[in-house]
Amino acid sequence: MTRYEAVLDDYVGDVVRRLPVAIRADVGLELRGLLEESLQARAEECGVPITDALTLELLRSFGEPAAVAARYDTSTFVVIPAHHSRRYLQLAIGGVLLQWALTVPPIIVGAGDLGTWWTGQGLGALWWPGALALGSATRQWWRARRTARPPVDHQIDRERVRPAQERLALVGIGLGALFVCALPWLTTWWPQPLATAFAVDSTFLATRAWPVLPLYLAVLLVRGFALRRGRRDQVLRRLEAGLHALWVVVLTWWCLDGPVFVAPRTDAAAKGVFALATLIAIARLVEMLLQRRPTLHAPTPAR
Amino acid sequence: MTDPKTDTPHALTLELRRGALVLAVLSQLRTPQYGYSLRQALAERGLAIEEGTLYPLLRRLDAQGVLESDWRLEGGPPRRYYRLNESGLALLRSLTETWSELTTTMDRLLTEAP
Repeated sequence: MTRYEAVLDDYVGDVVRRLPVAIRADVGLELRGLLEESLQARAEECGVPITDALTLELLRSFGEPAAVAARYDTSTFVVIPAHHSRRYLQLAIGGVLLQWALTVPPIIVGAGDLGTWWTGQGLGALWWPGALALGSATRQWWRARRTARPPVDHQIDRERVRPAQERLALVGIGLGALFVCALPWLTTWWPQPLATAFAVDSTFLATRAWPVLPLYLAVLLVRGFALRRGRRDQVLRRLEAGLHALWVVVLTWWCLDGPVFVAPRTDAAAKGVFALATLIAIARLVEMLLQRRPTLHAPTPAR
Repeated sequence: MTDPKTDTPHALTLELRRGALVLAVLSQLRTPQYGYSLRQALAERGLAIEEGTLYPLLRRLDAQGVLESDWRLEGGPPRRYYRLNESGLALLRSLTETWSELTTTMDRLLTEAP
C-alpha cells in the first residue's frame, strides 16, 4: 500500500466511524473511490505524481472528517432546535437559580457550610439543564419518527382554547372547589379515625379560609368566559396571571401562619402540598411573563 | 481582510448556486453516472461542484426515493452508479418547469425598471 492510499484509508475510516453502522460500508467504498479518482485527476492535471502534499490538499478541500460525516448522515437530529434555544436557556438558568435560591438561605443563616453546599446541592442543581436537554432530545427523536402533519389550531394560535380539555378542567376545578369548601362539614360525617385526621382547625376556618371561595369562583368565571369566547385574549391572560399571583399569596399565608388541620401529620402533609402548589403557580406565572406579547414601538421617522 | 466563507456576497452566491444544484444533478442523471463522472460532466458544462457536496447530495436524493443505484465492478475500484427512477423523472420535469418560470420572472425583474 502506498503512502497516499494509507492516508486516504485513514481519512475514510475517520469519516465512516462517525456514521450509523448501516451506511458505513456503502459510504466508505463510495468515498474512497471518489477520493482516489479525484486525486489521480489532480495529479494528471498538474503533470506530477501523487504526493503527500497533493493528497493533503485534496483532503483539506474535502473537509474535516467530522464535517464530512455530518454531510452524509441524514439521520441526525438537532437536540435543541435554534428557535427553542432562548427558551431552553431561560428555563435552564431559571431552574438552577430557583434551586440555589431555595437551598442557599440556610447557609447564609449559618446552618451549613458553603463547601458542602457547593459539592452537594449547588452542583447537584445542574441536573435540571441536563434533564431539559434529554427531554428535548426525546421530543425531537419522536417528532423525527412521525410524518409531518399540518399544525393544529392551538399550535398556530397558542391562546386558542381546546374545548374538551377546558371543559374537563372546569369540571375538575369545580369538583375540587366543592370538596375543599365542604371538607369541614364532610369530616363530621366521616368515620373515625378519618374524621379526626382531617378535622380542619377552627381558627383557620374563622380567619384564613375565607379567600378560597372567591378565588375558586373567579377561576371558574375566567375559564368559563375563555371557553365561551374560544380563546384567551390579553385581558383574560392578565386576569389569569392576577389570580395565579393571588393563589401564591394565599397559599404562602396558609403555609406560614398557624395550622390548617388539627392533626399535626395531616397539617404537615397539607402544607407540603400547598408549598408544591405555590411553586407550580410561581412557575406558571414566570412562564406567563416570558410568553407575554412583546410591545412593538413604531420607529421614529427620519427627518 | 474578509473571510471568503463568511463574506456576504460569497455566501449569497453559494446559496443561490445551492438551490440550482439539485436540478443540475438531476438533469445529468437521465443516464447512469457515478459520482466522479457526474462531477466531471457538470464541470465540463460549466458547473464546478465541490467533491464534498456532490456525494451527500446524491445520497440524499437516493434516500428521498428519486434515484436508483447499483454497484459495478469494471476493473477499477467499485463504483456506485446512479440514475433517475420514475419519481426522479417526474421530479425533473416538475423542477424544470418551475426553473423556466423562475428564470423568466427573474429576467423580467432584473431588466425592467422598477
